[in-house]
Amino acid sequence: MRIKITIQTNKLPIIYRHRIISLIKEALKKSDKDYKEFLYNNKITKPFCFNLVIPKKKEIKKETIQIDEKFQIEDLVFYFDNQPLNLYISAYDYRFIISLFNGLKRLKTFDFSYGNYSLVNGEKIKFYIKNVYSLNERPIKNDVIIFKTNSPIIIEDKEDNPVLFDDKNFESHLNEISNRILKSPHIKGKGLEKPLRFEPIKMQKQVVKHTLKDFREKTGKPIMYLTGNSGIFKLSGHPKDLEILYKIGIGNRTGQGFGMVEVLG
Amino acid sequence: MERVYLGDWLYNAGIIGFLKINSHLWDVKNHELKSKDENLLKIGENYIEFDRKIFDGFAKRYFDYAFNQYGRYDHIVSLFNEYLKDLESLENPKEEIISEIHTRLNKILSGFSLLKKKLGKLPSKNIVKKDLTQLTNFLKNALKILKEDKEEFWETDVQIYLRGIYGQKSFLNLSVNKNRFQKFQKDFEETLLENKNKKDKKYKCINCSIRQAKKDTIFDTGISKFYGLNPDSINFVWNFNSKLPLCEICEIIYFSYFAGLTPFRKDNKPVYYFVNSDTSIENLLKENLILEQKLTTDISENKFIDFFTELVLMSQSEKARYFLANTVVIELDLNSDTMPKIYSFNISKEKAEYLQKNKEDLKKLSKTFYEIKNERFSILPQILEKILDNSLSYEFLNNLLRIYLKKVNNSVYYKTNINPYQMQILNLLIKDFLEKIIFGGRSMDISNNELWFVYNKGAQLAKKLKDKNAENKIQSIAYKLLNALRVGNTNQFMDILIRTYMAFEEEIPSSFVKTISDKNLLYPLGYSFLNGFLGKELNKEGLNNE
Repeated sequence: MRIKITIQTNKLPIIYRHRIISLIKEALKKSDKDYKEFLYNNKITKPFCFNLVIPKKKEIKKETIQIDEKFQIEDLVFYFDNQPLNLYISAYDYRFIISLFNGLKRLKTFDFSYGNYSLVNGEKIKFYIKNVYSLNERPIKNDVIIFKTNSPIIIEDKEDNPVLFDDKNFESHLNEISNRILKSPHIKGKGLEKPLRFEPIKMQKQVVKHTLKDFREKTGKPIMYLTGNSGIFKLSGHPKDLEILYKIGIGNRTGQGFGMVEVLG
Repeated sequence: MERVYLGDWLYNAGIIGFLKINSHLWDVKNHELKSKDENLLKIGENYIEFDRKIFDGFAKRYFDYAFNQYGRYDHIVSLFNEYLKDLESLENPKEEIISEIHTRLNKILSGFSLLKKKLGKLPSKNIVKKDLTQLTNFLKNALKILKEDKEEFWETDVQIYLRGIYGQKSFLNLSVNKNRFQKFQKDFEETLLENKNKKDKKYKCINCSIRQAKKDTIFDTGISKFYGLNPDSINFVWNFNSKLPLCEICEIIYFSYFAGLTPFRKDNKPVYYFVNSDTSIENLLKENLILEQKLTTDISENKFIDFFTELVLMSQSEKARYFLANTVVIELDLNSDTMPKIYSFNISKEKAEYLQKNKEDLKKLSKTFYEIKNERFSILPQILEKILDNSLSYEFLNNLLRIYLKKVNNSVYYKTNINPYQMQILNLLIKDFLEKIIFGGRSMDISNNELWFVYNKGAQLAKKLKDKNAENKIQSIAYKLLNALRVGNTNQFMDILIRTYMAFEEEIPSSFVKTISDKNLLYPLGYSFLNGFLGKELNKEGLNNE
């Protein structure tokens, strides 16, 4: 199931994904604490993916972004007047959707910035949750689907190095990751019905700046650079598997705002 | 004194019948059965003993009992009086009323040949529509004849009634068409009173083994259509001799069994019940009196079909009670001309408990019906039938909801008076039935309170839609949910549900999370929501409970 959440705010720094994760956690905590703990106290694949769309009409400035008490960077900040941000979420699990929706209803507002975290020029940012809409999903009945990425697909090898669409091992990594994810008991409980075949149509590399608390503590660096794949591609496989991937996102880090796709054609 | 001991169930019914026919000789006081004159009738632990003087006036009592049990005469007299009252109280009765009364009258007469013969031809519909007095006069005449010739109707009705139960013994024989009472008096009352029956020289009665058998007794349809041997089946007996020895006392006891049965209308046909508890005469009589009392309460004042459905429930729950007390209940269908059926009420303990426990909730559905193309079906008897043959399921509820939605859409073909609140009660009944009977005691892990909570949530959402002037959406959403429930498609159901809640900015009841983990819960929860969504009544229970 797909939903669209409209959020009213005046600006947004380019490093935002970790705060969207917090928003989701916060909403889940409000309505179904057990479920939030199940999802976030264990290292499991999240049964959803998301993508935040920033309005086209915007002003871009380079400003000081305070990531946490320790780190401060100079980077892009988007300004938009009265235009809402659209946060798209796709999930495979109705419990997630119900809990998220009920949580957002109770939350109403969310502090994007808190304490000394996520400040822009020393100012705080607040999210006002306006509306939640349900969106139509495309039914997947064929074994070949043309997808377009909404947020970049991240494929990483065992050493966490990015693998790009033009790499000869891309398809085998994609299969390995997808197989592992589907095997999770809370997702399908069973691996791929048949191997996936990936065929790029109009793809390009995309680098995304991202941050996570664990990463900062481990590396002592404020941000990480993730190299992903975006564009249009053809994916073949069993319709059942394609449908799940369409719902939960493709590749690694889907719960962090990557790998969300749209059916084309 | 002649002594009669408890025996097989039919014989026991005979003893009870014999006692009921002679009800002037006993009384139940302070829950104790007492004889009024022990010289005439003595009631022992497992026997009754009586003097032959008991047969004085027996024929009259026997005929009266059968006449009252048949009840046709009184029923028709009261019906005719009602028709007359209806026609006379209205200044200009509508054509439909006249036509309806005419049709019913025609039907009654076609099954009552003696009355029809005496009355002559019923004026045609067209004639009575033009001249109503033709119909009222006909009715008045009918009532006059019924009153004046009551004696004759009394005689023929008893013959018609008992012929259906016993076959063609004695005065019930087809060739006997007058003086039936006299014949019975002569064949039974006199011979028994004066001990005039010739005895078989050789054989004792095979039933009591005490008395000498009556001469030339044929153990045939004279006892019952289904009990004993029939001359047609002589190749089953030694030497092709179908004559089996039976004494006159056992014969009259068997011949009284009709009075021991409790008649009851089921599916608009008569059936008969008998409780066979053979611990003592007293218990046997008392149990059957209770059953009779329960099943005939106020029946004369309530001729509406709705009431019958309640009685059907009462009969089932009463049978369940006997079953739980380890007592046998026998149901007889004497309708069939070829061979009557005998059912022992054999259900599981769980089902008997289920019926007892849910009696009050089932009762709430007693007046509900649905109609498809003018054919009317009472819902409660259908539910009971499904409980008894293990086929009660959510499919039935789905169909009812479908009919309900069609009715709301002003369909010409579909009608029903069941409301969503009652359908919610049915939902809970089905859930309980599945848990207790079908899943063998495995709980679905959802409480009734939780289901009422969801029902209320549905009602609240519907209210929200109405407040937002979106009432017209209720039906289309309900149809979609109903379709998803019919095929058990959780995803489809949740999709519609979540979309609706989102569109109207309401929180989604978290109880629905359960349907995702356990598909069995989709039905009780889904239907609870749907019933509330379509209903108007809120349930106070479970409002603050989740």
